[in-house]
Amino acid sequence: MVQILPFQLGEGLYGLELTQIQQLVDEPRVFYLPGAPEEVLGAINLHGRILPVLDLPQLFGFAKGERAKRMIVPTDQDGVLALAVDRVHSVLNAASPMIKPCQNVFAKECVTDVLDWDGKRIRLVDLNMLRERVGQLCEPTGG
Amino acid sequence: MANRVLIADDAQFMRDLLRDIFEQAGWDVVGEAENGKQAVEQYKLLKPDLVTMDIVMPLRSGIEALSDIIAADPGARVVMCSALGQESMVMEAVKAGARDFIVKPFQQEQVERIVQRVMA
Amino acid sequence: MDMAKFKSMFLSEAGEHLKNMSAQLVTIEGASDDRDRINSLFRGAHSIKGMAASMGYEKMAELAHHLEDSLDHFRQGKPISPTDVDRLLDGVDLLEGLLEDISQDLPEREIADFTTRPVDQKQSVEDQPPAAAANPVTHYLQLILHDNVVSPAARLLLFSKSLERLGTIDRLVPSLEQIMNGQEHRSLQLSLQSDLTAAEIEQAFQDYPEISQLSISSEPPAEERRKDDRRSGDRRQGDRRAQSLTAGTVRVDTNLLDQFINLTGELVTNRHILQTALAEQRWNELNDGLGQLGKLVKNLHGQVVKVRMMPVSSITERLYRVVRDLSRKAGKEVALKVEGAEIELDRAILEEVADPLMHMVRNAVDHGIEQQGTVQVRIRRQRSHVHILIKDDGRGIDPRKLRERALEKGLISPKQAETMSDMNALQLICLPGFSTTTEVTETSGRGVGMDVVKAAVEKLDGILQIDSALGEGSRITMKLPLSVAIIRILLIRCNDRLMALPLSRIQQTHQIEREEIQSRGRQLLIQLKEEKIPLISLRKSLHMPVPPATNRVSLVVMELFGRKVGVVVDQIVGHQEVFVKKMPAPFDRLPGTNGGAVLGDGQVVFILDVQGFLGGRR
Repeated sequence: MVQILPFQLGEGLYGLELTQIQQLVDEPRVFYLPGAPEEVLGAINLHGRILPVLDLPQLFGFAKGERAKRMIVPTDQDGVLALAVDRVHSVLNAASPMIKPCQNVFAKECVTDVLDWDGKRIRLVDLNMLRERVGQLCEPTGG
Repeated sequence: MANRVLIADDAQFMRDLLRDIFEQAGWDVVGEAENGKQAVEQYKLLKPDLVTMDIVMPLRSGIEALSDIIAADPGARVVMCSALGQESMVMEAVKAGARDFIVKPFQQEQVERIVQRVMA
Repeated sequence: MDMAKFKSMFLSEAGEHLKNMSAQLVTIEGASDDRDRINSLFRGAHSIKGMAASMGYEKMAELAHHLEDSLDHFRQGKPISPTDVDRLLDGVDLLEGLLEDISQDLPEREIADFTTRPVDQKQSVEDQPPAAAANPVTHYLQLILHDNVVSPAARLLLFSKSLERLGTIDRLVPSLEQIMNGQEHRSLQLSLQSDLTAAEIEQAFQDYPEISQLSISSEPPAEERRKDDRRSGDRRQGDRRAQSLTAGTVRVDTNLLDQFINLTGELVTNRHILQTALAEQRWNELNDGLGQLGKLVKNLHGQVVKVRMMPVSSITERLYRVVRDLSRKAGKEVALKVEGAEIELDRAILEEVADPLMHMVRNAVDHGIEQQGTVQVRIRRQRSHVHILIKDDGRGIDPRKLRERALEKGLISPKQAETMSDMNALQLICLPGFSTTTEVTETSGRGVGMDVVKAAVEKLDGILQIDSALGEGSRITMKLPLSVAIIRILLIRCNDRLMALPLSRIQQTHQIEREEIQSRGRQLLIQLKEEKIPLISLRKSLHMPVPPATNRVSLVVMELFGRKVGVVVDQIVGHQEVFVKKMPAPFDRLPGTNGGAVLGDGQVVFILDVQGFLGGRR
């Protein structure tokens, strides 16, 4: 049994395992980060730590826009940042066999596995891949 | 913003029933847990405004889960769902910090009233 | 003579005497024939007496005199018992309390309790009655439940809890114990002291169909005549905090002051050389002079930083007392050894670290050491860092138990638990909501956990390392930078965004009129004194919309690539001292900033990398 937190990015349904999430933050104030690329919305103050906010929909190629008031903070090992998404859904309990590797790896979206949930496909974000993408994004030349 | 509730019950039927009641009352059901352990995990993560907690559940009982939640957040609003004949467990839960309790089988109106009181 | 201006000096000196006295007292046990120590204690009390008397603080002078007398007996050869030490420590505590009153301009607290107390009696902590409430009214309530109410006892318990929120409950029938035993009761009688009126109380229970009858009256039921048996409020012993390291005054070594004087002298000479060189247009000398000036300013900065440095002993001294009190209370024998307390650290770091250090030492005494042992605090310098090690030779931490517990609490997944190394498992104790002992002890169970310690260390850009083996004790190391990146910043606003510039790069700020701005081609200029300075718009550099023109323009003059430049901003907000925090990787590679800072009100502000960012864009 795996607990998944699904969230909406544009029209797509994505998810993270609950154990990969440190906490959800409600309506944090987002502060201006000068010189940040478009995909970084700014930074929040989480108990005295400064966390950059990653605009996940934009990073995955969805339109710009207002994001949900709740942000997802992955656990420390998985990167020190907050993820802005379009909507956070309620937690699902999924049996492990329902998770399958996807045929074409969605490299841009950092997805390798897909959860089949009542005919809906939830793309499970691979935080390692995400971290690599963020690394490229932050190179002074690239992004 | 709509109020947010976490429903913890090992029976799918009860969860669906409660979900209906809450959604009709304009609530946002942010999570469903089918055992006490999940209830605690989800509480910590989702910080709902209210939890309905079945008193008897596998893995961690509703009372244990309640204690864990209160330990993590003394202000947590947890309403226990009990059945007839669980008087002593209900007492335990109230001692442990449950804000109120609902007795099964319950009616929509009863749930709504108790929720309103707890949220006041 | 105006005494007020001596007050801060009095506070800081008396405070230091007290700190020394308390440190001496704690170590005096087992060494009561130590003449030097007793003499030093005596001198401390004596100095405080003299200072307090000349400042007109009578109670303080009297108490110091009293202590001086007791110490004199020991000086004459009377042996010191642990009870004597306790009493002397109480006296020093009371002096500290008086000092606090004085610093806050409060009247000095009473000391008669202490001075008139027989020598062999220890003072109890409960010293003040709880403050009287405003003037609540007493209501007498009677409440009966419907017959069909399920779990009536639990329902009654909930009612009494709700009533508690409205006021103070007394004369509860049935008693709380009877209710909680689950006895079948369907009615409740009680008195409620509350600021609310009867109508307001009734209102609060309007929505309870479980209640069949509720009566509220201002008269007690006739037969009711029980005696008050108010329990005394349980006041917890106040946490003794370190004396604020950021207190207004700083004591400066006179050698350091001499160096400041010397530096000032050299600066005066330098100015003279530069003036002459300029007047006679001797460019080489001017160049040399400027180079010299640079060195002097750097030197000055170094000296000023030194003033901020304080020995670690300023936060370790109080640990002796803590360890002594804790181990006496727990019936353990614990020795504290501190090494390297003379090493100096920036006072801002010391302030942040004081409480975490205390907490870890407490933990070591409480949970680490079983009966007898040693807690070591070792401070060492490692290049640009200082390592503070807290080590005990107690039972150690079992990584297996940590894994189980984390798993049970749902903090890690079964897979993580399986693959996690022992080393990593030890770090689990820093997760919020994790604690290795379920029972809360009076001493370390104050709700401060290792997560708070870790946060404090990370706030300083430090690292917390935990190392332990079963049966071999624990070692916790705080690796901290020697001096934090504390810098002064100028807060500015552009397009409603707050940001900061490092004050060290700023030469001056100006308000100018728009018409003063000249142009040469596309370059805007401003005439400041003798020179023309090019202007840069911060908004343009940050790709912000161009603002509507205003008459007055705020300008920050700074040096970029050896050239003076005027940076146009919307608003100059003020300046402030902040900790600079690096952005977590990989975000530290983003161009544009040199890290961020959290301001007092929780706002995050980033420090513009002026040279790299503004400069690079021109």
